[in-house]
Amino acid sequence: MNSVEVVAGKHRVDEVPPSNRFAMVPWILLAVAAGFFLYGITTVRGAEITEYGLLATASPFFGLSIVLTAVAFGVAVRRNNIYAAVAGTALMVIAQRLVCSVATDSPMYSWTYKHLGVVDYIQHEHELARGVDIYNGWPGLFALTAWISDLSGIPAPSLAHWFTIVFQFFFVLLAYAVARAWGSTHMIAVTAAFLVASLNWVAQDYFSPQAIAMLFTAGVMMFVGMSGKRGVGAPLIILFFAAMVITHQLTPYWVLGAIGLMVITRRLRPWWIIFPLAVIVLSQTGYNFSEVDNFTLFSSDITQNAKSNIPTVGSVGQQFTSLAVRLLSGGVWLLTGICLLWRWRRKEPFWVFGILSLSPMLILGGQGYGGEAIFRVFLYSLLGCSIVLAGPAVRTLQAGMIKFSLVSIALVTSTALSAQGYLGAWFANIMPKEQVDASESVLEQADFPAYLTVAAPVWPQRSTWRYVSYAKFDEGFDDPMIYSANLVGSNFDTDEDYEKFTQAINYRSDASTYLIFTEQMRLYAWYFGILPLDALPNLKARVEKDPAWTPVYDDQGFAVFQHRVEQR
Amino acid sequence: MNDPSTTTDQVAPEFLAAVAVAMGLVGLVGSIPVLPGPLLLICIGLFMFAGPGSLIMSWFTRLPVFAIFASIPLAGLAICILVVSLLLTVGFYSPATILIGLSLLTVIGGFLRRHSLERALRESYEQR
Repeated sequence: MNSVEVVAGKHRVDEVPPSNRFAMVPWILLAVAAGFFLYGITTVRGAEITEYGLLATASPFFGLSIVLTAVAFGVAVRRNNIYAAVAGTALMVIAQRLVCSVATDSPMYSWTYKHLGVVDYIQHEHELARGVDIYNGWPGLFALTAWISDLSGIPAPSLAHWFTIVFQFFFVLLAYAVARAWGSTHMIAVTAAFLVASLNWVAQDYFSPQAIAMLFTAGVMMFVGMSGKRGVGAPLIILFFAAMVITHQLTPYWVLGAIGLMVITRRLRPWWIIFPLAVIVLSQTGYNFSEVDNFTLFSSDITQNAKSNIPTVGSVGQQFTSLAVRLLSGGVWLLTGICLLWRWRRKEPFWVFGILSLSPMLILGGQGYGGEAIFRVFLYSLLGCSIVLAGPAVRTLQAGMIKFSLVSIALVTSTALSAQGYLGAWFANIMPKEQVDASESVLEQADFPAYLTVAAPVWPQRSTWRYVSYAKFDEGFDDPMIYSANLVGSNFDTDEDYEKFTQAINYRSDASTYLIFTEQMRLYAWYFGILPLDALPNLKARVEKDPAWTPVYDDQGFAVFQHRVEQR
Repeated sequence: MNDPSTTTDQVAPEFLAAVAVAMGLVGLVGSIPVLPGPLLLICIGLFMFAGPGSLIMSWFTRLPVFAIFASIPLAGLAICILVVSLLLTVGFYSPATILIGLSLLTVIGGFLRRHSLERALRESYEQR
């Protein structure tokens, strides 16, 4: 039997008889962690803004709850207490993700609102805005959300606000099922699920097509894991894949590539499954080719593909967070590689596990995905790496005290790094409710056609159905001004910088420009090194003095100015 | 990789077919607009995550239990995404009509599935 459990040797790793002593220890630790969390989360809303993120400025009990949960999990595994291990996994999901819903007034991340705008358009117009943007070519999540929102009367932003925690629970449950499908025992599968819950720093679990695609990826990989000697659930693989294809652009190509590698190396049955999957994904891409042909479809420049979409050097806090996630990602991949090598040396199955865990890196050999490929690589590899690492982790946690201590330290450290990765940019990514409302007002009240220009990222742009009209007028109607005018890094404390800015505005002779400033933009731009902290206040001060600009609104942390162009 | 071969049903297909019928009826309740929003959301959620998926998985009951119960909500989600998206792509969007249609198909499918299973069981008894 080619299962992870046999690797242990004479007996299954989860059959170590637990001692009755200290039986309650994992439960006590979990209870304390839960108590820490319940107190710590109450301090999040009032936490002071800092470049080091939420863990640095919320109550220490908040961060301790996450770390202590990891400790409790390790103890639960050592004591072979599967119920405590399951509870620890659930608590880790809650401790790391519930904060996104209960400590904010509106969904996080500016790009969430681009998705909500598509949903709103479907609800308003009962059709897709084909040709406007790439989202309307892959409508899976947006159509489903519009449908649920219209049926229930629950606004789509409310659904999006709670998306993260619901998704994470669902994904972690699926991770357990995938691990079981790939031969893991109950305890090893729970450990794999815990690793997925605790190490997912990528933050693609917001209201996004990527998140839904990951659910279907888990479903596909579950049946792939059961399809070694004979095909299992081929119709379900096709069903899950089809839903994935209509939801997200990149994920199906990785899944197809991974399945293709397994088929070619005769590790997967039935071999013909590759054909219907290829037909489905290529048909969808072909049908929407006009949406993707302006992107680089294939690039073999691995270095370029690996770069993130924020090319600037951020604040010290951002660099710290970036270092944390690089250490974590590198560590996970390195350990996974070592485990695979160990399996190969012991003549145990390693090839398919290697494909599942490390094949996402092949994406970097073909696509940059707009500077986001590097994030997707870790996200896609997380499931496979967790499964590969879970067996040795359980075995070592249940071994001697030294090994247990070392693995516990590694578990706690990696969990802490992941939490920092996920929450480090907290203050840059929260979207205050007043700005969300302002975004909707600007779209509604601006004189159409117009450029609704944000001075710098971020802003809840394209948040309502009205964005489609603007996008049809000019697809870059809301591009950040500092990018349009090539002013990244400017402090706007010189006439020269302001002149470049003015020239970029004057170039727009076909419509008025509404220029938007928010405190959130100032913070985000500074955090990611896009602009100095004083840049936007300096620019705003110059705009206020410039008679070419008319103030439209200035209150509650955001301001709007209009540069009027008379329509001929 | 793990071979899940089993020769017996890990979950009774009749049970899943009955769940499909029940959840289909819950889905129909979810199409009544005068009900409170949170109740509608629960009904729609129950239907989506337990209705079509239970019907589909009633044909795959020889899989391991974890695979069956993991696939039920996922299959339901996939069906709803595909139906709503594909209809929208061809220009049709009527939320209530789609939900009623899916719910009725699930209810009818569940009844037919149960009926065929019971008939197969009856025939196997008669042959003994």
